[in-house]
Amino acid sequence: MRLMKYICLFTFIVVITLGCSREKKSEVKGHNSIYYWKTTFELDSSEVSFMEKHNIERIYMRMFDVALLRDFLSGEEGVEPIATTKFISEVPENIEIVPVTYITLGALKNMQNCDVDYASLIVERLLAMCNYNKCGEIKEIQFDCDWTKTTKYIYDDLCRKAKAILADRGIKLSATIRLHQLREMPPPVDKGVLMLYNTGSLKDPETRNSILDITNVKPYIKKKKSYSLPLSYAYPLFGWGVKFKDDKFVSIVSENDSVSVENEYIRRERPTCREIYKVKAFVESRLGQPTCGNILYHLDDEQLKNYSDEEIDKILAY
Amino acid sequence: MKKLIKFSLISLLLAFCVNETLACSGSAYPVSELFMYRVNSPRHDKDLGADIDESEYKANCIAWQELTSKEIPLKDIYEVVYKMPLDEFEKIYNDGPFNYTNKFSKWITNKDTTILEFLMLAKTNEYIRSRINSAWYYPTMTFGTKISIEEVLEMSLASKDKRLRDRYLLQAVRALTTLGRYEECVELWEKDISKLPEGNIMRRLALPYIAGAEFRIGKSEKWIEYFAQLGDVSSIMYCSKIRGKELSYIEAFAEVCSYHSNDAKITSMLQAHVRDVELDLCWAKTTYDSPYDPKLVERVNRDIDKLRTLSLEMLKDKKIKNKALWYYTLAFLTDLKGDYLNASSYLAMAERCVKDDYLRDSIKVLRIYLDAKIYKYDASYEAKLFEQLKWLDNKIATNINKEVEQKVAEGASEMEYGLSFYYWNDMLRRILLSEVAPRMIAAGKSIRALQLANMADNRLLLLVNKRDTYKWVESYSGDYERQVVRSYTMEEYRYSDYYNRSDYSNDFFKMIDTLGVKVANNYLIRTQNPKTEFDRFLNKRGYINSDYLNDIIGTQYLREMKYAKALSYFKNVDESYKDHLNVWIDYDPFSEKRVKYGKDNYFKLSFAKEMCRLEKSIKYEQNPNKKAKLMVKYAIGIRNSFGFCWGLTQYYKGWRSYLPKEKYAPFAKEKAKEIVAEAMAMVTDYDVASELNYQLCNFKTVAEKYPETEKGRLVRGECDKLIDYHAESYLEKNYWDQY
Repeated sequence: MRLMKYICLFTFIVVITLGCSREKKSEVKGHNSIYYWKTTFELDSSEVSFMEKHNIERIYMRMFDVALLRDFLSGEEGVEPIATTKFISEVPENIEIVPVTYITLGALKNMQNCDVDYASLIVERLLAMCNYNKCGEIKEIQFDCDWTKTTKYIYDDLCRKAKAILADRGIKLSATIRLHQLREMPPPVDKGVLMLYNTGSLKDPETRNSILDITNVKPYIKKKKSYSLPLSYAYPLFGWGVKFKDDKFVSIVSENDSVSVENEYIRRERPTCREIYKVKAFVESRLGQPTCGNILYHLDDEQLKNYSDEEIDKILAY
Repeated sequence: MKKLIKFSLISLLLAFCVNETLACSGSAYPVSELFMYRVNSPRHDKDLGADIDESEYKANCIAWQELTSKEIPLKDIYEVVYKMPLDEFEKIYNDGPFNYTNKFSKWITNKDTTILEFLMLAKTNEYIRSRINSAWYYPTMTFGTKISIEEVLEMSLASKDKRLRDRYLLQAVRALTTLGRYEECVELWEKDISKLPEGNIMRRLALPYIAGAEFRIGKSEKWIEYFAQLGDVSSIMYCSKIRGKELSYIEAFAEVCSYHSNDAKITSMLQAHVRDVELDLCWAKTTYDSPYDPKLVERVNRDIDKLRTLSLEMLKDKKIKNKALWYYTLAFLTDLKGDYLNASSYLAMAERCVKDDYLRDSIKVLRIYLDAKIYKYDASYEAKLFEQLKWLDNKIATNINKEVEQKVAEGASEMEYGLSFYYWNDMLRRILLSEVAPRMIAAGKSIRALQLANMADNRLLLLVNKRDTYKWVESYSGDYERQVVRSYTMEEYRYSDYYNRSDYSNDFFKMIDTLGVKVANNYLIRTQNPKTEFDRFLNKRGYINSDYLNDIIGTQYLREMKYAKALSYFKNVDESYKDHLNVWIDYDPFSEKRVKYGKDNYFKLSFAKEMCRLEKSIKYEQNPNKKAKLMVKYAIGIRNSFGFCWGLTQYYKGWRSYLPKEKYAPFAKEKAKEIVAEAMAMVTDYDVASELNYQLCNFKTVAEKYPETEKGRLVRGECDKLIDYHAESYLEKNYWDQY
């Protein structure tokens, strides 16, 4: 009798657990996604075909940056939107747009102890842009900010307010997470995107590849751990040249640029697929599978043509 | 011993190198930089933009008062019309006034709801406009208002309310501008708003929008005319630049003048610009802190030429009502170019056509100034100047106000309070100190120059006759505030032990301390025995205290090493004044080294007495050894009175000294050296010789020539290698170069 009791209890637990995990799995259905990070939204046919070919269902689109500006007349500093994306192309059907705003650290610091409701201003502007440019139903908004330990509380406050405004409208708030930010508690958002690009120090002449280098990733995720925020992973599909003179950083240049001045050299950076796979395998082994799929950075035909369809599919696979 | 000598010499050297001390000097600020050009009443001296805003707010509130009730204070109207945000106003609109003390809100909710309706529309319009004009705006944004901006426009245009018609038209213009419908905006102006009376405030408030709309449409140059009517020089410059034509401020200002020649705004703008030029020219020419800047002079001269051309153009314009303004400006600018004769002719034309008293006074000041440059300094000019000064003095006395009194009591100088501290006194100072006094000196009338400089420096002090002393206290907010410790009359202040910030740091002092003792003495006599009415007038308006003047003259005699003369003046200085000389000495003036000096209130008197006594003793002493001792002490007194006891002969010693550097000190040095040489030559006694040489630090001579004397034994006993170590200080340059 007692045994029967235990069997029933065990069966109940198994059923409940299975039921819950099945439910959970359906909730975290992933998408293939890509970032669009330019100031003009203008798709060419090859970019459209790229999205179709790789089943890209979602574009994380930068809409504007939030920066600290000095007023020309009054000389006073204020937080304002800049570099607003201009829409030339229409948003393709069946593509979900996630509007993204990049918040500079200067702007974030200035939001401290301020009467202005920046969360509301940012959210309203993102939604107005989506509405005006017919971006379809908005299910998610994303904040991108290189916050640090000392500025996290300002960012948290901003996210908390934005999340509350969006919750009323049934929209989720996501945030980019940089590797160094993994050391802190996640911001109060619904989900995150782990940025697996720009991992190294751009201006350091000793850096091998500032876009992606597994040796720069490993120190931040030493052990297997669970991050208390559903994470997607964003991988780089771009390259550039970093110009140095006498080992001092000069500028970012085109990958194909050359130098003519003595003591100048260009560090050409483009992560290979092999390197990306290695990072992908490493990150998944430590943080688990992406809960909402993988994201490519970013939609630019000139960059994407450096990778084969198979390679891209392999990166997107989850 | 070697170390000791080295140490002594180096210490002495260093001590004399750094003995610059700030005590007294001339005034810190050149009076030529005081603004003379004045065409605009001080109440309009503020920033022009602020001035316009203020006047428009007020005019609009008055207009509301006329539409409602005279019983409603303007403050209440201002609160509701300008200060109340939309959400608060909506509460009034929906629920009635919540602040029953505001009579305007009560009126519009109870008695005149058409105004309530209008203000609701206007506030909604303003709210939406502010949101749309924000950098955060993006089309399709909604603002949570009950009506959209398009509806605001529609309702404004549809209004039939004749009483509020002009106000609704303004709202329509604002809505159209916000919607970027510029052509409709201009049409509305041409069809309706421009037909409103010239003085209508709504018409005036609509004009900036129309100017902007015309500029954006770009079909005509009417925007220049409109901005000019508004006196908006900056917009003319900005828009012209966009159109590819860069205008200087003066060129843009000329546009304003051409459309707007008789408006009061012109005077305000003109004054601001001429004063800029006036100041730039002074700075460009100054050699005070920075070298003469030819590039700046060239630019300023170009600006002056442009302003002169503008003045001439304006005078050609038959519509000009205030010709005196432009003749005065032309005269002033012509003088800035150095052509004071032509300046005088232009000023005469201004004098002939001036109508308002404010400008008449400015013209009169410029006349006094130009006369001072033009006339020969003879009796006839002095008579003229006397009359002119009476007028200016009356202006100083009658226009003084509490603010000026307060600043004077604080010990203000033009340096601390900007360039227009008190116009009338500023002009007295500028005319007398920069023009009349120097020319009087050049004409050989130094006493008159001193009298005039004294009036320039002291007239206002005497009039206010108050000096406050302060301490800094920390306020509850953590800031430091000045708190009055005590208020003195000027006489009390001058006899207190406070550092005298007035009498030893002004132009009169600088003048009397440099014109020579003879002039100073004659001036003193003239103060005591005035010869003319003008002398009496000037005496009454200057600070001619006998203690002050006797101390100055006595000090000058010390500087000339005429000790008996000095003594005769110091004896006239009252005991009570002796604590307030602004200089002091720390060391015994008769010690060859720095030996602390005990408190001696009137050290100058004691020093002069001792020098007189030494002079007498030297004269009558027959014993050559005793005489030599007296002579060495006398020579050391001379040296020290220009060296570490410089307070005996000077009121100031430092980098900004107004005294000619090489005049007194080198002469005194030579004299002291000669006296010592003469004294040493007459000594017959070895002990005295060695003692005097020891006193003068001539250790080598003591050791070599007088080895068996007490001092000789001392020097030899102190050192191992006598011949190497011993210095000959009095022969050394530095011993006597301690000035």
